Amino acid sequence: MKALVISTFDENALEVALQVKEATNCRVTALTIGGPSAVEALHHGMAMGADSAILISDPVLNYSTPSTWSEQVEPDPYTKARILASAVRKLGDVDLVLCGRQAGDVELGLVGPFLAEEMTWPCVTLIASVKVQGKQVQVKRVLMDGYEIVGVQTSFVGTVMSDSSNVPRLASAMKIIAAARRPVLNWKLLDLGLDPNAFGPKTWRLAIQNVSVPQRKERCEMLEGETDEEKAQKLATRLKPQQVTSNS
Amino acid sequence: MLRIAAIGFGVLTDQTSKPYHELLAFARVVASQTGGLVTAVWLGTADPDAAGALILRGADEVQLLSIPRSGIASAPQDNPAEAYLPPEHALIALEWAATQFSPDIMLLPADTIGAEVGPRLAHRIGGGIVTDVTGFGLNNAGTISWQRPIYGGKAEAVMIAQGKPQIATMRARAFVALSPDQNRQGKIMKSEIAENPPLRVTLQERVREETAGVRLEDAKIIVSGGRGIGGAEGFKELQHLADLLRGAVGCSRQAADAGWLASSSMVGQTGKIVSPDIYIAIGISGSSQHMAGVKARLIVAINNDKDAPIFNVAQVGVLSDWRKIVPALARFVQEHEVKS
Repeated sequence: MKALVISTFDENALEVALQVKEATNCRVTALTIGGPSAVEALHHGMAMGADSAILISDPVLNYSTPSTWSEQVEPDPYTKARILASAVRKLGDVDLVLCGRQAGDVELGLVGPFLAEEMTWPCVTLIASVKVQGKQVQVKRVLMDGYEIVGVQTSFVGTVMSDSSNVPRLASAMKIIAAARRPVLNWKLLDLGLDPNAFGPKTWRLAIQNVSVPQRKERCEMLEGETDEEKAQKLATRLKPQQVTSNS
Repeated sequence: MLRIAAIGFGVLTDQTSKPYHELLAFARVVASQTGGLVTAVWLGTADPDAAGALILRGADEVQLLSIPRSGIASAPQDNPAEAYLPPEHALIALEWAATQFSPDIMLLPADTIGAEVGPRLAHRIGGGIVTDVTGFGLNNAGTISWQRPIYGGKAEAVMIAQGKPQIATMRARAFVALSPDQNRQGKIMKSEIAENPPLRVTLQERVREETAGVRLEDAKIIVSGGRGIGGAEGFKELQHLADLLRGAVGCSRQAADAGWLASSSMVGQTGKIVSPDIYIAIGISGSSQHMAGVKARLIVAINNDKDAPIFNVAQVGVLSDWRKIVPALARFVQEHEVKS
């Protein structure tokens, strides 16, 4: 049995949410779709500081603990966004939905933007941090060559990018122990007013047909030397551009 | 015949068009397998010469879409980086284009704007989308599949997304731009997007963090540091070496998250994708997420951990403390420069 962890960018998203909580005294709910083992990830979320946690789980969603990558079968992003949208509506009174910019495994980056479209809420991607003033929110977005500040009103959906301002906080041992005792709410599709038959594998639109692992062809040539001086000198001769061209 | 739309955003000039030429090269790969027609759809403003060059670089025709009342319309041609195309305007324009031209395949760049607008467009128009693709496939039954790295570049997946049109965002540097072919000819058309809904997300400030000197994307040599550098102080030594090599300094996500270098210097799957001649990875463990951003002819690793995965991807390795190697290396490079 493998333990599930929070996907890395989702942890950044939770950190941003907790920073908003510290600034505004809001409530933070950790929400995920998954199999029974996802409870561990939610306990981790509560140990970090989430006020409550909800697991959406349903036999029709076919979550299993895969032993290999190719066996991994789970709902596609369209399905996940539809389910999450229903859950956000059921929660009601949600001002801000934050999720990681992309999953830690298949990295599609679709659920966040899809969820915004499902909700017909504004969407802000690649968030580093947010500043909330009433209904008005200032968002710092990470760009390839810097950053930008955009303004948006609640409610909106944001996807979070890792940044020096949102390094996930560590949960203390005390908090981990306390969180492990707290309940995780379990919602089934019927609880969300959804017909499970409309969400099964036959309805999923995105499929992984094949997975392959590229094989490495050449070995690394280690530069040897009695001293670091000698190694550095050998390396210097390898950095001439013509050397590179002739080798490749 | 399949209609393939290759979509680009912003201010098109000779200087800004290189990534878009790479997208056109990908569009030609798709066209050669499907017998399709490639329409370059440029959203924003375009310099006439740069628009004409799109035909020479692989487009069969060009559609220039302008949004007269959007900020992008008044963007200064000489400073394209200042141009701002709100994603909401891009989305409206692409919905319009999808209805107007009914493309079978829409290709977008997997950059900051494409990564947001592509998925939202797919959701709105019922398209099937795969992001960050690096390849295209077509089986005998005519089913389109998309290749893309997963698990931080550890594996390659082939994905099938149901829906029409097929939408894909292309990973930067996945294809090499075609050389201009002066014999190619095609029409250049212009359209205006009249719709201009009030923006729900508004730009307040934009700050460029690009460091002085050679840009990472253009550098022939990149000196890159990771967790092993230990702090911002160490990156000064890397910068010194990079200056001597006329290269640029990059870093891993760990180093950027620690604040040792601006995140605009981050190389990797979620940072910049770079293609220098030589990539010198110093104190970088070599996670597949980091290496997904490195397309170098030669990868050199300096690390004091013999088990670091970086030695599995590097061609040349030095097993030692970088604090000893880098200053000596800088000296030899400098001496060599003096002699030559």
